[in-house]
Amino acid sequence: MIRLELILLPLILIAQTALAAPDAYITNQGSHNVSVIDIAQHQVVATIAVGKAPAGVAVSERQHRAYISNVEGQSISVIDTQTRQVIKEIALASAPLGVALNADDSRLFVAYWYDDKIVEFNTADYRIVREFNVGKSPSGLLASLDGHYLFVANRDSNDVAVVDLSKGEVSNRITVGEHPFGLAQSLDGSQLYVVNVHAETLSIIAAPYTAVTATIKVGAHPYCAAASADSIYVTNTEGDSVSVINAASHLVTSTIKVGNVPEGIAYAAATNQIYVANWGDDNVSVIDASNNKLITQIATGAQSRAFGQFIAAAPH
Amino acid sequence: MKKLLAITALFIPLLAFAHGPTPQKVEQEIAIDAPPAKVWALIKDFGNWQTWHPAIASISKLETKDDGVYRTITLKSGGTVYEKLRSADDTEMKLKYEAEEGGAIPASDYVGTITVKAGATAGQSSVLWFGRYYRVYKLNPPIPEGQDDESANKAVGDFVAAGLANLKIVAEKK
Repeated sequence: MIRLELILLPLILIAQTALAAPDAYITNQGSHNVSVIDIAQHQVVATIAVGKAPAGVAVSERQHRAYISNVEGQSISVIDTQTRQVIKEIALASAPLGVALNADDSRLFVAYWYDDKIVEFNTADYRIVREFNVGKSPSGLLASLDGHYLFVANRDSNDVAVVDLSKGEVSNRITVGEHPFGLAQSLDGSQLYVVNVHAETLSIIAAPYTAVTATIKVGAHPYCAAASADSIYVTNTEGDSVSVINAASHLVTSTIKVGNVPEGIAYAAATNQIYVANWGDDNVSVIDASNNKLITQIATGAQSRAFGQFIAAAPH
Repeated sequence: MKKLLAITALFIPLLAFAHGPTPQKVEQEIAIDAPPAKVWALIKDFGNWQTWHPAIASISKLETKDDGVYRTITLKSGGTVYEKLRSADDTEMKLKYEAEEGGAIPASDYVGTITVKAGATAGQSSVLWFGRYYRVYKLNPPIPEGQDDESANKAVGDFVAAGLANLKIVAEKK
């Protein structure tokens, strides 16, 4: 009797691996374009012109879209990731920085830096659905995996706003360290990570997201974070390094030297690697997450920031 | 009056970091026919940059506070800039400093890093001056004249260029 699953399962796994590696979308704020990196080949495969001074990025694998915030251009460039073309530029009333998609990619959230609010767009027709008033200089944005919440780092209010997406209102403001900027979450979504630039700490807010549950000292002037299965990686913009924190013990287990002014950081589940955008070096550092060693550097455009989830998260 | 100044001084650090969303960059390098140690000695002497920087008329006596060493530079073009030494590393020959808010150079949150590296031969150096800063204007555009990215980039770029060019001349003097 032939075991069908012994034949089919390996084929399915091979097929998944071949399709599974998503590209990394690096926003180059100085050259007004996006470097598309094939993470399996460690190569830039396309450079796409977008609006003026792009910084934020959110990627949808299921929709084949990358959304780029053009800070000085006051717009969102929508990229079709299959053709690598900009298919739409959404004009905004104000300067955007952070962008994020909700759990099912049906909504795009944009932080209006100067207006202290989040604007929610329908990704099907780019219409504005709702707006939420949050704190000052809203920066990092992240939606919970269960679809219930949007988290907002209010840089100049020193807190995180928790937006209840079902009720359509801000349900909580949680005080964190001074100048929260980047946000990240654990792979299972149970832990929210907040990077506090001036406090030089990482605040952890565990589900149900009502209070800070841990605070960990990191390096100098940290900006962003990313999580692998067992660690949290934080970019220290003035230490030119990445702090690696064990997610269980909360101890800093190593500090990896990367490029000049590292900012955006993301985890590539398909290759178990960490990508870091070095604003000062116009390139990206790639770290092997299995041993936390630097693998390579890939030249990108000018002043690479890659602020947000610039590599699509693994399906969950 | 002293009390008012003291209270005002408390507010300056709070405002100092409320910059906008788009950082700017200056990065210039120069080759110098002088040994790295000689060039580093000139840069490291935070209180005496007027000996090589042509835009600086004079520098105040260094002030040591709880959080570091400060100086006030007076520009030949007028006005002052209040600056803090962040670090000076002899091993890496790297100096890092920041400019406080409201100075005569129209940039905010400026952090500069000057590094001296060995040149092609023993008697040669290469100096890299790297800076990150933001425009002065922190609110929604329209941006008032003189407070935009272009003004910041021109002022900082000119300051760095003039500094490096004359550092070379001074360092190369036998």
